[in-house]
Amino acid sequence: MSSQDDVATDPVRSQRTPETSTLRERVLEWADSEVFKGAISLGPVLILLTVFYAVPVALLLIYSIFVEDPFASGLTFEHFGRFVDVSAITSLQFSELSYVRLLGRSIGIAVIVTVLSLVISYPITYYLGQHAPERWKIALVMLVIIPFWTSYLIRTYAWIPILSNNGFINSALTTMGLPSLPLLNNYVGSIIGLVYVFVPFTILPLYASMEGLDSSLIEAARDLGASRWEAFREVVFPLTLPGALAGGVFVFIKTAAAYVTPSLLGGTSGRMYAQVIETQFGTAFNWNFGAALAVILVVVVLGTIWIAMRWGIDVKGSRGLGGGGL
Amino acid sequence: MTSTLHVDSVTKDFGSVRAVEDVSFTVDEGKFVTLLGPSGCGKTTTLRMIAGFETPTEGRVRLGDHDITTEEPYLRPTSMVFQNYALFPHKTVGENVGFGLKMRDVPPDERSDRVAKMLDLIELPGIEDRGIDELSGGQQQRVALARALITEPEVLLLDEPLGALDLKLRKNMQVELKNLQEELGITFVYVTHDQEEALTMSDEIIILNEGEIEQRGTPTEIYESPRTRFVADFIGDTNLLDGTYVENGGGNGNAAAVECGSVDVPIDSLSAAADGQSLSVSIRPEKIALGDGAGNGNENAVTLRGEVEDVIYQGNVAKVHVTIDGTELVLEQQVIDTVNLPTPGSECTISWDQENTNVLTG
Repeated sequence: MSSQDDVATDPVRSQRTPETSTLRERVLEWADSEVFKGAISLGPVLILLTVFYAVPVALLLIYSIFVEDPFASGLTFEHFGRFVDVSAITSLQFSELSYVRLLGRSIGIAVIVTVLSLVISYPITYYLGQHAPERWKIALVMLVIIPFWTSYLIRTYAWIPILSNNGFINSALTTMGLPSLPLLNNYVGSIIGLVYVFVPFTILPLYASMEGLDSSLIEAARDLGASRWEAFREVVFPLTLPGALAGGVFVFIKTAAAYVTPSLLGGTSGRMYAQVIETQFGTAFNWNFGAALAVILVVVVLGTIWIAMRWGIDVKGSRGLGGGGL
Repeated sequence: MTSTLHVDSVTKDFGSVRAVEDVSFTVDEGKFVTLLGPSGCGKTTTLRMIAGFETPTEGRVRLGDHDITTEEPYLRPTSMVFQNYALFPHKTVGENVGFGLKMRDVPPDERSDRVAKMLDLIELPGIEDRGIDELSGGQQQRVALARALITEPEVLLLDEPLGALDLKLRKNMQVELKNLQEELGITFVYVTHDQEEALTMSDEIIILNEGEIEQRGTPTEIYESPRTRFVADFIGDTNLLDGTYVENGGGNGNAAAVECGSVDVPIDSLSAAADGQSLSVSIRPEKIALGDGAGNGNENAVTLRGEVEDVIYQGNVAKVHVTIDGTELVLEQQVIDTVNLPTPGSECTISWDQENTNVLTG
């Protein structure tokens, strides 16, 4: 057999020709292959994601394009049409586009909450990552995490007596002879509540970035003539941008779809898009329209993030993010 | 106006730890001075106080007549080259080198001209657009140097800048750095724990130990005439003998001697030492000769008889370990002919010029 000779003279090739190897060798070789290893390690996650995420999202998509019951009624885009009311656009009655306006407000609130969370997180994480004594670091990071030990709902309720018209803040203002501020049952209440809930989610990734930032880079910038602000702008900010984006994207996604906080603290002017989706599913029993609204939210949020990431990668001086791949 | 750097009685405490204790020195303009010492000796802290990254607990730092003790780092006419280079990873070589100029609001055109000139100086022309991660260690080192020099500092501070390079590159860079310093005439304050580096490059060396200055001098003075036990031990190899001081030592007509166990090392009479005081002496191995060669017509020769314990051949030199009644001395011999190396166990005579005996007072 000539192939036998080949195997004998070419040890490399003998490993690569399964047709000449025994079953056991073939099984072992397959078990050692990248495909098998990949399937073993990714498999559980893939199954989990498929069952709990891909299937529901697919169901939403299906509901959104049927008149009523999926596959039992006709295909339609009327639900999307109800969101983007073409007749209202053509007649320039933009105030009629209530769903679009609500989505716009939700995205706007999400942007404000994200920016505020980052603005609050930067000084905290700069201190934690660069200046906090080593032995205090873990304790201080724990302080950031401790609020998670209590229910999100309870913590949000706790804001009501702080923000209400005769609550803690306004009582203090009135005592000092200052006019009271409308902080509850409007978008201010939503924003305060959301920032409070989501600040830890920007602090943690930003802290990881700050912790990894070589302090001698800041010193070098200062040594070369940079003021504190210039050192932040030229060195700290671009090098921690990956952490800021990671936290920011998370907060943005969660906030754009926020439901509990605006329900409790937002009132009418703080009303957000997810509340309308809930109304369609829960009160109006119009699952098809609710699904369409949800699909639109997902698309808009992903689109916004995609634009933000492109921008983040292109920001001058954020080369460190170049391999972001988004 | 001359800009002599003055470090006056500087002390630095970190909490309860005293990193630097009452350190004073001056560095004349255009000199290359090295702060040398083992890790934790306070050399980097001293450098960082000159740079402005640390504020002294006590004492002042002055440059000429200008007190810079508490001045912000970015206002000082000093530049630092960091141990890990601290190049900005998100900026190109050109942006890194030009950073100091940008911060001084130098217009972009002038900036790029000066960056190009600086890259010529470090012999890496035309690499402005490269990323830092595309450079080798040696190239990064040069770029870090260029970035620090472009602002034309009066004093350049270097914190073990060659520590991360391999031996051969390090040796080349030592010579280049020294040449550059002489060419530019800028004061260099260099921190290292590598004694060979310090001896090669410095005009003067300041040896620090546990936050205090042990000795200051030219490389020759430091090597040939160490004044303390620490310096003798830290710089190069040496024979350190601990003993007691005796006037009219050994009755051999010497002015004095240090009795080190079985060996009496004759020295000049010391006015500062009392009879019976503990003293150490240091004799460099290469100063000791086999045979009574050093005593040839030299009345200052110290000659001892002993037994060859061991011979360690190291290529160009051989280390010969000799015991004199239980006291071991190491001498270093040029290997010209391997046949002439002594054999272990044989009797021998060793000698050195008494001038090469260093009495260590601290």
